[in-house]
Amino acid sequence: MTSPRPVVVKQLPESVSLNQAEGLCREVEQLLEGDRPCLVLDFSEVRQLDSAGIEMLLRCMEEAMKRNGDIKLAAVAPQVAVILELTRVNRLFEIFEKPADAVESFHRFPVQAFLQNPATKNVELSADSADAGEVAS
Amino acid sequence: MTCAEIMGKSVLDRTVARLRKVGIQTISVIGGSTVASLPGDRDVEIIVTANPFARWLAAQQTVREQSAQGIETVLMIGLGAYMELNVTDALEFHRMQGTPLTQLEDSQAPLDFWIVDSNWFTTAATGCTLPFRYGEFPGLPVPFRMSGYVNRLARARDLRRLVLDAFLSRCEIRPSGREVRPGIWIDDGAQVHKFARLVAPVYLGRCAKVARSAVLTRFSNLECHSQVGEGTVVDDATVLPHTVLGSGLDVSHAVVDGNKFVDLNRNLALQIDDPNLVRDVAPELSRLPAHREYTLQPSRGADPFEFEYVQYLSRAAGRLSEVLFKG
Repeated sequence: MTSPRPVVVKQLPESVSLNQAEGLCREVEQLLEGDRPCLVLDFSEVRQLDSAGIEMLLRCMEEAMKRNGDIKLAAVAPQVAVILELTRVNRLFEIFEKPADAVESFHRFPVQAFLQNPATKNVELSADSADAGEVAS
Repeated sequence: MTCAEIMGKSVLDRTVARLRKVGIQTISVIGGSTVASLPGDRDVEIIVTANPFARWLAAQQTVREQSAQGIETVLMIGLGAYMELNVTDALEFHRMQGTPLTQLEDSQAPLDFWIVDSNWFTTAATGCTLPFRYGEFPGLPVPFRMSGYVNRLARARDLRRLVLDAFLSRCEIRPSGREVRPGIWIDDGAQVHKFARLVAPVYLGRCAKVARSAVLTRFSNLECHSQVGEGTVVDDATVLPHTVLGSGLDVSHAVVDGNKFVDLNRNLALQIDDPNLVRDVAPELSRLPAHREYTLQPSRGADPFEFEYVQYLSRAAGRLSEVLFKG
């Protein structure tokens, strides 16, 4: 029986753009040291995200994967969610409404959080939107 | 569809298991060549009809044979829908009613699920057409409203709905295999490249392969022996067994079955004949499991029921398989 791995929650600043991305990347990479790092990026303060911020996210994800760990996002504001969707980065991450749900998701699959998550609702809507397409045999 | 694995197990397998659980011993499965993909060692009689229009006829004949063997009550299921039925409750209702024919329904409509007294079927109902229809016999069938989960699996979106419901525990289906990380289920023999990305919840079936830089995300399921090529993204999609997705594709909001592709956003189904994009790698069945053949007899002209056959043959057209269960 192994004890649950510790999960680090990193609060991101209001702006995650060119000026801040490099410094943030270094900070986050420090959190990713060690085996199987578990990191939640708290976006609750973030209102600005640009391509440099996206690149930072991807680099951090790559680092986490190299170490067999993972990064999850939480509390993403709508204007930031648009950027994540525009760049299709949203589908590379599990995104939760609350940081606590993201933390929990490292330990067990949080069904309730998914049921309440707008991203999940979108997935369900897409499944509902089509009314044809017979299932092939 | 009925025989295709969904989250590691076919609807047919799940239905058979449900019936076995309540002690139903004799089970016959009637269908086309897909039924032959069932493992031969299971204790299920398989009846193969080359002609898809003949399946209800085969069912009719099988009920009569079983009736002759003394089986009193028969469950007749036109398989297609996934139903989480309390079989015991349904049988109890049927017996309490004391009528020979019960049809299950859910909140939306009647289901292709009947409970039939075989004695009545072979006497009073001689020559009736299958599937049973309201109005054919006065006061029959008696409807039984079931309360469990039902997914009719009539369209691709229904299949996606079933997958979502399974991931979100809204039905009894759970992904098979091992939950290697919360929300990521991987079945035996599946291979995932170190630099592939799996974003929960996702399911990988037996011997599935995910290549480098591929992404499986948002309620996607990759069923047994399927493959995802390098850099391909599978997002909110179902990849049915023995399907190979090429490299660099974006498969979103879709159901892929071999080279058949259903785009749920565009409400469009198409066949893709370029094997670099998608292809079917289902093995040819070299040997059918033990089974009986049912052959449609040629018209004898004088048989009045031949005309009635036309009615249910047309109703049966398009069905992928029918299943007959006898208890």
